Amino acid sequence: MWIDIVSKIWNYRNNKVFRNGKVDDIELFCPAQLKCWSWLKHKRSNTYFSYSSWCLCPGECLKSVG
Amino acid sequence: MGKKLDIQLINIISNIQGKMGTQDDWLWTTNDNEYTVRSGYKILNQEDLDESVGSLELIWNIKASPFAPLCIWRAMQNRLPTKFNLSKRSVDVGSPMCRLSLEGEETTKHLFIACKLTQRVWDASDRWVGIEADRHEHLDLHMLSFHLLRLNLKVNK
Repeated sequence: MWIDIVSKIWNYRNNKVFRNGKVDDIELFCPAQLKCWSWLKHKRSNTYFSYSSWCLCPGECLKSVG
Repeated sequence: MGKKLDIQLINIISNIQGKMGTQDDWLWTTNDNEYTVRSGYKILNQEDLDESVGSLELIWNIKASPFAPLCIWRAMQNRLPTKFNLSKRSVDVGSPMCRLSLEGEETTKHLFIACKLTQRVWDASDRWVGIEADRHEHLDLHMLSFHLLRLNLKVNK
């Protein structure tokens, strides 16, 4: 998770530097959450939790995939 | 920036005394004076051993999408082309200020730790995961504290 957030900051910074636009922390953080979740979903076959429960309680979700 | 580099180069060259009447030649400055692949390999290996590993090793064991560890690896060794790093190499980047907060130069440290926007992102991440990670000045310590807290969380639950 930590690692995904850092890479998203860099990614986001690139977008802002090269394409301009306003900056917003929620706009950065939500894609990081989504990216983590979709990566887990595709990487692990035993990922049964939804994106909304991933956002609500990530700890429990991670426990369920081991 | 370009001028600074010029002066540095001139300073380096000014200490060297040339010999008149001889031809310029390449020189390999190890004991044997002659380049071999073996001697080059030896030197490269020595340099690698000197670098501190520790948290860098940890990166490759973390499960995350492939691009992420690569990005962290570069960030930890200060090898991301931030505006500050580019301007150090005489690349014209316009304003050296951070594009996200407009406060302070865009260094690796600033971008990932000190920047106000980044801090709000870390706050959001803490609230989400349910921990309170220390805000370390160094990126690798920051990662370790986050990592340890997560492990603790797993044990306590």
